[in-house]
Amino acid sequence: MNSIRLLISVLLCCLTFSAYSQQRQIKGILKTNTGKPVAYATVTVKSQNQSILAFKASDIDGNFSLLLPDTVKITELFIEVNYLGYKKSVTPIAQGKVSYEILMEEQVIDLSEIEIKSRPRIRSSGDTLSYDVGSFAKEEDRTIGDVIKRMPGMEVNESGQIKYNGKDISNLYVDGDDLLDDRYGVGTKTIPNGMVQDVEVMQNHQPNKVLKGKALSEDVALNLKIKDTARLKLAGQIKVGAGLPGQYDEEINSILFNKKYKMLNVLKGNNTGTDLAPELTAFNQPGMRSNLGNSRPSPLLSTGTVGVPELPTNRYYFNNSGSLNANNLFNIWNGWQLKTNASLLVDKNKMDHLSVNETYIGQDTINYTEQQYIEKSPFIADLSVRLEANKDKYYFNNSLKLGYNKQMGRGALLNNNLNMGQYFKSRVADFSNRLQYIPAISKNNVISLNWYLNYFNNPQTLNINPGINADVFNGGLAYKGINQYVETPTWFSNASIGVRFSKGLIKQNYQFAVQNEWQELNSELRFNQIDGQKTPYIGNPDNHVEWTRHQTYLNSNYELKKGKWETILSLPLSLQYIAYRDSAFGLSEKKNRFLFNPSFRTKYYIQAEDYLSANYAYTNETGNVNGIYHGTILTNYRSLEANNPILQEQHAHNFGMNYNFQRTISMLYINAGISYTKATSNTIASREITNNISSTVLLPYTNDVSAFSASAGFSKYVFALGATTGVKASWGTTRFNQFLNETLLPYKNISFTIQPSIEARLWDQISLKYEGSGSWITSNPLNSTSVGNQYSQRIRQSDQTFSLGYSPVKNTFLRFSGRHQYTSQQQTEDIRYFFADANIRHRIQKWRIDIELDITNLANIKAYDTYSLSANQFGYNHYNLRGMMAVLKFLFNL
Amino acid sequence: MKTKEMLIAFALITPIIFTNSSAFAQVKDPVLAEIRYDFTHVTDTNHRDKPKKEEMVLYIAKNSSLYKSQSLATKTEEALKQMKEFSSGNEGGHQMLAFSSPNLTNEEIYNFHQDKKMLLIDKVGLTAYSIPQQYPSIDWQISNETKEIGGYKCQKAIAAFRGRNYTAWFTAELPFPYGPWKLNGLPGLILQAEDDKKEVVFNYAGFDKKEEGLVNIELQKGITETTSADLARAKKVFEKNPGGNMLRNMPIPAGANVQTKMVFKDETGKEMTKEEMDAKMSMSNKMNGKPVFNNPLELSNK
Repeated sequence: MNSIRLLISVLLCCLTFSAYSQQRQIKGILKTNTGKPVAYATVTVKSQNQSILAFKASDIDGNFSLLLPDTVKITELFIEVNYLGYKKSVTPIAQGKVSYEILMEEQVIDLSEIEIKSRPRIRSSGDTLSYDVGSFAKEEDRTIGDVIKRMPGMEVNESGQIKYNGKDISNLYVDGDDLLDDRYGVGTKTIPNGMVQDVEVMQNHQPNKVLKGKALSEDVALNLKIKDTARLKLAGQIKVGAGLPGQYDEEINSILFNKKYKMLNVLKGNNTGTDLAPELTAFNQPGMRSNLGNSRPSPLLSTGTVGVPELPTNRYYFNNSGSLNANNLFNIWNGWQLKTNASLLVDKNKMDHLSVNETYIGQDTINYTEQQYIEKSPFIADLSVRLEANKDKYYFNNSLKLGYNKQMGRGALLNNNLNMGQYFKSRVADFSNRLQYIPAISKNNVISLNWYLNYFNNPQTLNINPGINADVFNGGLAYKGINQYVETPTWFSNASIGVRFSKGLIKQNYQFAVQNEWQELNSELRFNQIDGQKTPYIGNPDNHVEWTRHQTYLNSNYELKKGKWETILSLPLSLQYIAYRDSAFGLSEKKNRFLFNPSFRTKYYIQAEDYLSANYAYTNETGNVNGIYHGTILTNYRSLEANNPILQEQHAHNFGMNYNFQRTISMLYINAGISYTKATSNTIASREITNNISSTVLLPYTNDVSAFSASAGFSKYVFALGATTGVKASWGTTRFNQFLNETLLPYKNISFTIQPSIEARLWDQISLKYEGSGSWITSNPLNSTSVGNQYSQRIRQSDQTFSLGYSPVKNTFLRFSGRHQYTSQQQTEDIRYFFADANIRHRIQKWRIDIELDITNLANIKAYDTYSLSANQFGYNHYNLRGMMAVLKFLFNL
Repeated sequence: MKTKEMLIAFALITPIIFTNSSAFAQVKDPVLAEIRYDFTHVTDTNHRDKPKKEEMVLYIAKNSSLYKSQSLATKTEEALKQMKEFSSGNEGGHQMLAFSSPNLTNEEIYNFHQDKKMLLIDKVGLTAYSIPQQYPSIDWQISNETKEIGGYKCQKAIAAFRGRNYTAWFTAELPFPYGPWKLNGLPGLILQAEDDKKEVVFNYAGFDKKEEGLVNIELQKGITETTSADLARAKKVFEKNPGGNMLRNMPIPAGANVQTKMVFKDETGKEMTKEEMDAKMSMSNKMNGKPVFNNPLELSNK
């Protein structure tokens, strides 16, 4: 080695010696305007194309001397000195000039000229993980959701909801501001990935500054850190799309993420099968309501017994939808924030389906056939206004939410050769206000004041013509039709005061709350007789139930964080008073209950990034007004429901354990968990089924239900392949009872699901994605002797999607995707489907336009069959699909 | 290289009477930016398929740079977090930690560009030693070949250095005369470098600016200066009885009345006693033999 090195040195010497004929010398001095020499600065000689030809650092006196080859044209060169702490200086080289005196202007170190073009993929600091968007984005991506999907540990579902390591995120912040509240699906689907610098995952996220370090949090939140350059300007897109047969798909959005003011407004319309409702879903609302004890009775009436197929909506949804989503946030002054979120949805959709339902009871099989054509026209409007101050000293929040929705449905239905027309109308009025004030009273102690008020009503009407099942409904007399009306107006209030002591080892939190619920259930079932008279259901008065529930509770909450342990113990004691009456049935009941619902949660950090957590909860639940009404309600054309007026009471033990493992440095994420629930209630739903009608009555019975499930997930980024791989699996078993035609049928269901996935990029041009799901479900009667010839039911299903992306030239992207579905069931033949879609996109960078051709359902599949299985019921559904369609879209970036 | 052992030891020293804070006075040079490298090194020429791989980071400041293991930094951060939990309520305690793993570099290279001074800091157990290095003044030959790395337009330069012929790609868009390991002195940051045998490869893995004051390049004063030969010898002795030596070598100021607590952990984070750790370390040395290290970075000293 030494000899080689020597040889090079010798060669260099020779070069220098002979340089006089072939090289030119440039020398000079670097000085500030006060004459101070600039030492150790790198002096470069650059050509026009910014290529460096020679360089040398200045010496301690600021002198430099460079040699240039004679072959280059010297007048096209310049001397550049770019040295930290000084302004960049550029001096052209002049013919014949050898010595240069370069003046350097001192300045504060300024890195703004240095552009960050590619950052480390993931950085972690404390509880925050930052994913560099640029490293994960691919050229074909348009929205931040497309990129988040690809980040290891993250999942994004069809409605835009995000999960991190299997856990739903609590908020999606934009530069620290919660612009979208929990209707953030529109953000995932609209915010261009180009605007976002980093996606930050904040674990153990405590949104209230005043509670930081005072209360433990399990929440995971995401923050989108916006690029400096994107903060200043208004961004927006216009999408214009048209296609065959008779398709349109339009969108306008405008985005501004300023420090003071943020907005995201989206106007959309389509008839291509995209359901716009999921974008308006408030993901965390149901959880928030149940935390406050506001459990709403579920809607009672429906037009049929069939749900939607498990396919993306653009396969089966015959729609005409439009939506407006406006989100505006103002940082008014000194930490005060005002936010409005408004949304509007208008839709007209049609559905056509056939279903066959078999119920096995003893030796008998009862069959229902339902063929339905229905047109629905939902209208949904929501407005929320929120004033918030999130400060170190206090937290204040008042949110007002107004919701109104209306749905009309009209259709024809054929049930077991019985022909009828249906008209359905449903309205929802929902008003709520939530006030929170959490001041710190001293360094470690805070008080919290909360008040939540809600009014909710959901009146529903179902009209059926002509008069069906006269034997059951009208004493065998022919009649014209049925009108069923039901409403449940409800006022709910929860006011609480809490105090939190966070000094010492155990942080204590006490909350005293008063909860009130006033509710009515009014229903009317009428039969239109041929003579024009409206008569009630024989021997069955209408319901006019008045229901009140008052509860006071004291919740003591203890949090302990020591070493590797984090533990929360909650001991709520409550006194509940329930009264309900309905004079028509001579019903008047009062119940006092003392309830204790303790819960315990503990977390043990095995390492900084790994933890094991366990939780236990005991819950006492009492039923609602839906469980005590006595008068019969026709919930759909063939179901009658009523109750024995016994208050439903259920108590349950829930136990769960989770293990979370992450290695940020190697991008490995693992989670596993088990959960077990055992619930006992004092009632059981008893169903009587005949060939044309089923009726349900709630009966007193000690009813045990238990469920066990185990699940695990794994996700890893393989650096060598540039691929994110993952597997998820879950196994579960449920035991429950059915009471059918006066026979008790205990059942056990077992299900197993496994979902592998991989996403990779090959040679920078081809991207591959695979997602599979396989499931095995069995349903067994527990003691087969008593139930006769019950089948043991078994269904196997697999659902695999793959997609192949190819970018033959820059700015052109082709994508082909396929989905294979397979269902196998003992008594019937196997079902197989293969759906294929293609998409071509070209981006004209200069005009900032994307042109896209979207062809869905290449195989033009027009019908879709599914089987379903639950205990002793077997269902077959047949749906009409949209068939092949092609849509051409133009996307303008403003 | 088969051994995946990683041992963490950390000590909690809680001074009761006496704190010598002035011993840790520092000169600060705020870090302006950082660059990451994926570093691959064929340390054993008999097993070219199993090179050492590590993520490295280069901190860039105005007058200096610091090159060290990012993988180690991540481990350190984890460990510090754990220590914080241990020491809660014990504020004021001084904490130290050490890692031992064939896949983690404990060495840190400080480059004081202006003073043409380079220092290598290495650890024996919990004690850090500083070894002054011969300043690498590399005679780079610039070619006009260019390519794009991580969005930056890079220009090629070649040089022979310490027995290997390196090709480096630097970018004038990032005007810092630094690079990975001891490679430096180009008119722009070195984003990628490798030797002609591809035994030593530094691949670009991201660049980011740092907010001022977040990280500083600071050399702890009072670190014992030594030579590479002496350090190698000290390491050899230390490895015979790591647990005991760790305690003995703990840098406690003379006369200080301190409480110490030492925790040893294996690669899975399981706590071990001193004896278990010693046994485990000597066992892994016996089982797998000492990992062969026949191909150092520096093949010659020129």
